[in-house]
Amino acid sequence: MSERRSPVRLLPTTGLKQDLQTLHDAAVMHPHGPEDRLLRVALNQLGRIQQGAPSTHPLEYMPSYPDLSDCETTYVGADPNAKPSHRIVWRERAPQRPGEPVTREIIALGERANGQAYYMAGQRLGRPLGFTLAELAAQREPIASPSRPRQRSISSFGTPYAGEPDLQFE
Amino acid sequence: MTHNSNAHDNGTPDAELPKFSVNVVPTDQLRREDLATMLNLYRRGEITPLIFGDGNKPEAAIIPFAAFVRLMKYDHAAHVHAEAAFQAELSRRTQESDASGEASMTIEELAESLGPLGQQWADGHRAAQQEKRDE
Repeated sequence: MSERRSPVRLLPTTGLKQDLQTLHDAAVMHPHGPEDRLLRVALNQLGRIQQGAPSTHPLEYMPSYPDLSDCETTYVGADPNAKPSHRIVWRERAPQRPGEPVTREIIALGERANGQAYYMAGQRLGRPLGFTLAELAAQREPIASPSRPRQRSISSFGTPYAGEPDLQFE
Repeated sequence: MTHNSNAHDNGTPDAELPKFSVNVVPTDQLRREDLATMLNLYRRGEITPLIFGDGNKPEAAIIPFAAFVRLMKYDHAAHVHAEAAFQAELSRRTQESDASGEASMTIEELAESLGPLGQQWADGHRAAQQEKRDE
């Protein structure tokens, strides 16, 4: 299909599909209503994301939110006279092999109010509040990593035990 | 802490030790002077290991520190092995979950999967794209 020649591989998550489905079903119930307009605007924005358009802005870590600093946000609004009411949260993944297109993983479409879209995205990525990505990565590292500091007694494992004098308990 | 079990999956056979007997020093009536004597005997190599416990039940042993380190090394190797296997399994499952149900698709395919309004949008979007290409 010619559509697959897009510079970006679009990877909608299950959660995003559900967000769109909910919006679509509401739009079917209210033809030409705000949901209908919002659905079209959201699909247009997703089309632009697929075409390689930049986000509205990259996200930064804020302690009261899950860390989404590897993600981008694209504003979506059906009313041109009001602040955009919704956000699309997505992130770009580098190609796994040379020559492959980048992947843009679309994580959530949600309301801006009360940061709903961002909490939803964090939940879908399994990111608890108050932890930075670095902290989460450190927790997920294999404990066997040689660079990680361990208890002092364990570090003595690096020394040959055979020649060690027997320490006396004093 | 060291593990109480030898059943580690690190390639070391979980061999049963042959039966052996030990002398257990009861602690309930142990005085400070007795302890000093015992430790001196241990230091001279006359009692090794030095085992304590009540009711002739071994509870704790004083062993050379090098032997303790060796035991810790053994447990640590087993832990590293188990952890590496756990992390590998975790990565495999994470990758699988990334791949499952989240295949890439075009925006038109995504829109069409939603229902009639999505199909309508996809048709319009395709036509607009085609117009752009024709220009």
